[in-house]
Amino acid sequence: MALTDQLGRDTTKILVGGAEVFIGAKTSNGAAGVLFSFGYTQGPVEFMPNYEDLEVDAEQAISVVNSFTVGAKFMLAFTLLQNTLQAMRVGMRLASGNLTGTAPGTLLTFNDPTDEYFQLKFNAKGAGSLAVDPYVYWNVKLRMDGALPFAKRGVQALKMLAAIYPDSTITGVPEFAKGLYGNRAVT
Amino acid sequence: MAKLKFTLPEGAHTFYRHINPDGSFARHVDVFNGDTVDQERMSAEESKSFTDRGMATLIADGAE
Repeated sequence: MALTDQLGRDTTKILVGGAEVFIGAKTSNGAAGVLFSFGYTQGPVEFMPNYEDLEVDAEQAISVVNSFTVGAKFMLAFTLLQNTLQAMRVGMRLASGNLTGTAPGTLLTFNDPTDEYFQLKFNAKGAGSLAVDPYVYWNVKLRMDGALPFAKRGVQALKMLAAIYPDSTITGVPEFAKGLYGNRAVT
Repeated sequence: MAKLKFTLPEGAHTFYRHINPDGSFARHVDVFNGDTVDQERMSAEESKSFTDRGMATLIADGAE
């Protein structure tokens, strides 16, 4: 598609507002998962794409003569205001078996971490008719990022960092319909 | 016309690509527990994926 949505000054395209984050078990081939809201968050939900370029320098030129993309890493950061046991389990990369029982007798046991992948979605403000742009990522690994504070005048805010990986189960045409990593839709 | 009736955990949602009668579609249409969607408003692949995973069951029209 050409740069057709770059149509100059349009205040309706200025998007402001927080996003709600949802988590579900990883699915295969970009199937929509069963998603649960993390609830209230603090501060922005931050999507951070990072690229590594190999820049080629030549003796015959002052500046770089060519640049190749040789690496990419997509991250998502957000801070949960609801320090639930399930959120802590996910943040500490504990296997699901570490969370047992039913309230008020629920127990989260701290053990060695495991590798668990999730589907992650957040609903951001959008400029479509429903004013929501859902972002979905198929293959995400989460972890707590930094300290969890317990304070007289502070919330137990759980900082989360999500690494977004390509989903190798996405094949064929759906690669473009769903995206290897995920997609952003206008609704 | 068959419908898909969604059975999801309390508070959870999922989403699908809604196909309009004119062939246009809307992405990321949210559905919640108990919602029903006409089967023909969804691709066969997506409909099968939901039923195979136990997230929805096919019901006859009017059987809600």
